Amino acid sequence: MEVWGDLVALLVFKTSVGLNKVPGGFDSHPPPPISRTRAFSMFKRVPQPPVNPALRAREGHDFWPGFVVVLAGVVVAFCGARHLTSVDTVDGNTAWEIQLVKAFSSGGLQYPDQVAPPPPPNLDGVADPGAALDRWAKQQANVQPPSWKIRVDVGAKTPCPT
Amino acid sequence: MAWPIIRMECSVPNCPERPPATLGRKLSRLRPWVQTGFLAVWLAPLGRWLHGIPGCVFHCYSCPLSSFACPVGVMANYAALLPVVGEVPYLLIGMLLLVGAVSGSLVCGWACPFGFLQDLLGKITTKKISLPSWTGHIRYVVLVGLVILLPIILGYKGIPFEKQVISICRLCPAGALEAGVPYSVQSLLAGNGWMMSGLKTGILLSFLAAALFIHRPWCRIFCPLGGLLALFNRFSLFHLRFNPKECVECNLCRSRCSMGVKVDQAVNVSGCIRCLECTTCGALEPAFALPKKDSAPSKETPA
Repeated sequence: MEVWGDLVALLVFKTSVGLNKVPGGFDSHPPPPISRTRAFSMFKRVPQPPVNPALRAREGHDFWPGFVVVLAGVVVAFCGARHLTSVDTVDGNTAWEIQLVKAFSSGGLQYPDQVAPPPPPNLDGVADPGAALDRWAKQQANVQPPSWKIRVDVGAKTPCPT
Repeated sequence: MAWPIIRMECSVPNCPERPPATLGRKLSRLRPWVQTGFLAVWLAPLGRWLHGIPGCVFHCYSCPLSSFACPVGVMANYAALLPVVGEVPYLLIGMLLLVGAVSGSLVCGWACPFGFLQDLLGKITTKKISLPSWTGHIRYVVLVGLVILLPIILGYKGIPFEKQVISICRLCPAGALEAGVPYSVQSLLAGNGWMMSGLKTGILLSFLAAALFIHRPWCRIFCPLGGLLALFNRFSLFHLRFNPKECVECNLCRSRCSMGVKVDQAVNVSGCIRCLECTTCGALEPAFALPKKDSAPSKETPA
């Protein structure tokens, strides 16, 4: 408040004696030009309470905390790149973490309920189509649900799964 | 080359007429070009084979041109998979630790494509609205609630991430812009209509409009990745250092900060995106922590 009071007093004094109107006077803070260019407006200051630089910390960072975290990051990222997940691929292999991440963006995750049952047999040329269909239905009834909960289709290319 | 003396409008009594710091001025001019260069990296047409590697910026991996995977999307997918397989995203964690500890949120200011878009929109001359600093905490609500907890809860209910009606990917404006718009245009041209949902289209338009009046609204209020990387700002190797000998209390540092950070009080804080615009004043300088020279910062603190 004291600073502002001094400022106002100085402004009133200089205005009263006409110094503010004199270009090149002792005023180091002349009023801004009427048509400001972008360069001038770029450096416009916001008013704020004055700070004391002498009381402010330098905020220099210590090396070791950052370095330890960097080291941890490198190790974890390397392990991740070599990490075999517990998820299988449709080919029966184990998916790498990179393949799992890639599956997120390409719709490559398969759930058991998404796997379509095998199509019914081709009945062309079959002597007894009814019996063939019955046989197929019995086979399907005996099929055990898949043991996997999720698997990765490495070749999936759905552009936007969501 | 000496800079011309610029007479500045300033209400602070001891503000001298001095040119902006050369380094800060150069960095300010360099930044849009670096952002453009990184845009070419994130939108590399041949980069789809890198989709298995999480990137370090907010960038939708469903974009037809994108390289690298979106770290937020990967995090949410892993969260949804937790009830099923319980996998840990080592690659993602390692990448975030590495990038965060080296640079903090420097990637937000210099590499993020969605931040770059908001920067460009912010250049359009409109009256800017300042936000209260508490809005920055919403980022952590989004991170914990929408990116981690909600996918886990819905995952326990047996709903795969792709079918979750509310998820970060379904609400993300970057996804809407980079994946939703291209595929919707493609669909429109094929005569199948606009495929992006009304909600997502509305979110995208709202953010584009908000970016005209608020500097980086997504980054400041909602970005979970920015919030996460900002946690590293307090100890990252790259940081901003205050030089009291150069400070003339001109307030240029705070005036140049478009993120509303009280730079005159502390600069390595979670609201900072390290655009380095504040280095224009000369008292704040970019620094890299080294084992010998900067190992004891507390001793450098002036009395």
